[in-house]
Amino acid sequence: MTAQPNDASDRVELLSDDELVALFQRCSKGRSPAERNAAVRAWHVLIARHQDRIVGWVATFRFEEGGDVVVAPGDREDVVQQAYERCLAKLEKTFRGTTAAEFRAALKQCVRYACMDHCRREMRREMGLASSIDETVGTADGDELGRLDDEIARIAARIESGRFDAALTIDAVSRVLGDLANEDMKIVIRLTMEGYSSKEIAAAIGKSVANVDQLRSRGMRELRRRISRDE
Amino acid sequence: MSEIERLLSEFIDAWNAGRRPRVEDYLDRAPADEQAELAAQIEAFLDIAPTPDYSLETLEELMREPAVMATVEALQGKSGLWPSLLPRLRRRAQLRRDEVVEGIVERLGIQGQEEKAAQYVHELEAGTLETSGVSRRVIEALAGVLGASAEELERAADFRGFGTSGAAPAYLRGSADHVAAPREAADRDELPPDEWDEVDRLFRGGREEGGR
Repeated sequence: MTAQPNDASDRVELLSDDELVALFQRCSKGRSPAERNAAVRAWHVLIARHQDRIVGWVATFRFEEGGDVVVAPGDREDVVQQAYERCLAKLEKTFRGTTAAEFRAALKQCVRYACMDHCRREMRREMGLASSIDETVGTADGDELGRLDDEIARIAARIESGRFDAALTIDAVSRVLGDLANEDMKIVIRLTMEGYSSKEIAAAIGKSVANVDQLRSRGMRELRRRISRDE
Repeated sequence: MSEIERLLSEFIDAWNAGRRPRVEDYLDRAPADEQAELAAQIEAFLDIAPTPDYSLETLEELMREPAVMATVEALQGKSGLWPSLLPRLRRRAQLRRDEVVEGIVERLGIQGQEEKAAQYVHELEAGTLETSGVSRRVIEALAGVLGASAEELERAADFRGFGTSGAAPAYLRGSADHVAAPREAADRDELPPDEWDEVDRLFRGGREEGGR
């Protein structure tokens, strides 16, 4: 299905994430009100669909470099909004992706930067350091570094070396899924990604739900371990 | 089966069913010494999780979330990312808008012009005032009051979105435009620059205006 600008006035909600990203990218370069409307509406639906994922990323974030500092529940909405601001700036300046996976990876990167910024600011406050709270990790578009103190210089170096590069993350996920040695685990993760419940997967592969739960958990651990190693 | 294997799987099933599970509800149920591991596994899942097949009703609910609406307004307004950023910084600084206005009026030395400054600040938050017209002095004053950096505000102001070039989109018109033009603002906008007062120049005359 090829999405056209006029779809925006109809049922953009029915488009897939890939189609929404493509629609946004194509129409955001347009000059007509119809194209711009389509781009804004595509963006609106796209981020609404990702809202819970972003909130979840913020809730699971651990600032390991800062001793496992987390974003407090009361601050999460603020950090989510900061992540969106970074994402908009990135879309305008550097994002050239045309797929949902690329969009998601860029979004994740923005969430990480927003979380790191927040945690660093909170650490400073708690440590009673007198320095300004206005320094940020990266610029608003997440691609250059702002002024940094010694405390996060190590993080900055890793950012510069591309640790959080979106393309790397996508490649790493694809490779890890392909490389999983355990065939059952591979099937369980693939079916999980396709939206099947543990009961459905258990019935499909002839294992117990407990086995499926265990394979899911081990799969996520493996996924995380391998991506971290690749980074 | 361990507790976190069960909790992760419950979270995944709830996610895939479009039931919008809250991460903290699951972390809270995990043993304290396993919460970090569960968080890491949920994060890994969220990296690859399918977007749930939300019902139209749920999607509309998500589309009305304040953070989502703020970015949409920023995208189609005239004020860069400020409609999202300024209220967020204000909340972070625990200031009401009138307290922000009071602070910048004092920093700009325009006492007695609170009402007019308040209208301009309101328009910046609503995305109806061109940020390219805002002077550096105002940016610095805002940054000082909000505890942010002038650079951060300026970068956010430079975001173009769709509201400043070509025809403005009509999508969600009313969300930002409902505050666009009270009578006095409309009258003010028709004034030629040579009839602007100091407050007009500070908020509309461009970066270098209002310098001392």
